[in-house]
Amino acid sequence: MSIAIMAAAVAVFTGIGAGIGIGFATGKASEAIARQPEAAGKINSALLLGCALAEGTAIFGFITALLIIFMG
Amino acid sequence: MLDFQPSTIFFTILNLLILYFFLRKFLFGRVNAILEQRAALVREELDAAEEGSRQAQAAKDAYEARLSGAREEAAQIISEAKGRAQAAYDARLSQAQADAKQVLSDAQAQAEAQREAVLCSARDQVASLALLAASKAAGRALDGEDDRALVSAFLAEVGEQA
Amino acid sequence: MRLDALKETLLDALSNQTAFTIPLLGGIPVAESVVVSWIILAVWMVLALVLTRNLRVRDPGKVQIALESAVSFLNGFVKTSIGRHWRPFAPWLGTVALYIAASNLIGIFGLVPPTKDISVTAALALMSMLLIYGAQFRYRGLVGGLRQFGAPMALLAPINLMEVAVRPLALCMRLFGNILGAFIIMEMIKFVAPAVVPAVFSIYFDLFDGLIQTVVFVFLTTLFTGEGIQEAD
Repeated sequence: MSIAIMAAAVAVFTGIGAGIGIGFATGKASEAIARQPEAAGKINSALLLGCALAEGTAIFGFITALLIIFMG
Repeated sequence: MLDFQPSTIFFTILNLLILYFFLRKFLFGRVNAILEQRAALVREELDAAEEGSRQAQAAKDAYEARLSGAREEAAQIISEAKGRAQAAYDARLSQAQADAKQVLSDAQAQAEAQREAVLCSARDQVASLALLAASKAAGRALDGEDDRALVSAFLAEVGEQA
Repeated sequence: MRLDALKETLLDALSNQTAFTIPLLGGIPVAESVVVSWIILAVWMVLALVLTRNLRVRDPGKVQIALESAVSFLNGFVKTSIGRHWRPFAPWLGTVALYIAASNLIGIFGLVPPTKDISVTAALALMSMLLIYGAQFRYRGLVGGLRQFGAPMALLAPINLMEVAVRPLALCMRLFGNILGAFIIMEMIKFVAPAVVPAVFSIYFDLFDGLIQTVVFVFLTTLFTGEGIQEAD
């Protein structure tokens, strides 16, 4: 049981990657918008897409953790 | 928790399709129809406004053309009137000049005639005086017809030389 | 033993209850999420009927202006993402957006969000997959649609084929995971502090996250659909 809990904790560490990735993406997007405010719409949609894809990683980790806890 | 339930999937797809057909007909269909109608209306009104402005422009052009025509006509009328007035003036002037010339020539002719008459009577008197003097000198009456002719011829000769 | 109590609460919250069973073909279970979906359907249908009751071409009312700008926004968004063939997609994407938004936000009213049920999000993702690849074959033809899997180069064909499964899975799991995560965190907060605190967090987890996930789901579906058919022009 405790090993399962630890495994779940490790699985949830995927959130770190997603957080760093989204942070980078948002920072770069802010820079881009500051440089070219007229392209804000396109940058925003690209950022949203990137964040959604990066966030997917964290979600997969989260679901893995849930599976380990409740199904394992 | 993480098990896919076929019945729920089926019901959800059914729900989505029902909602889709319902909203497509009653929400998106209606609103899009209104939007399209509005777009058509706007286009129509723009066309109408364009047509109106074009008509107004045409009317303005026609009016301006007519106005300039009227102006030309007025100018022509004025110039015609001026010409006519000039002609009348000229005619009157020439008439007056002719009249004046006539009067002058009449007066001259009259004066000439009077002078002729005076000269003639003077010549007659001179002739009578000359005859009288000659008859006195000749001691006889020179009242014959040929004597008088002679004196007259003489006097005419003298008058011509004078 | 409080931890065990928490786990019990969570387990209770996580399981998808069956509302009732249709006594047909050996019993068809109707999940709670489906019943909540029916409520959402009814609400949207009534709202649609009420809001579009008397639309006018000239001098529209405030409600109509809001409605028109929302539909115009949707149309414009779909048009820029999909291109020339945007017209049949806009109502479907709008419907999905309305359904997901209502499902995500209905937690505020104390009902269980249907998007917490993985079967519901799986159905949504399945429909998105059908839309994406259906549109690809519909507007490119059979050969063009197949060739699209080899784009931009034939070497990527395995990855593209894998995407057929990965895209809906990611869509499904993203929506489900976000809503479930928010739901679990809300349950935990309610377990720790039952009073005012959950309301504050509810604003973020139910309202903001729910709307963001709605936008992300519809945006990704639109983007993938546009990607599938756009170069056909």
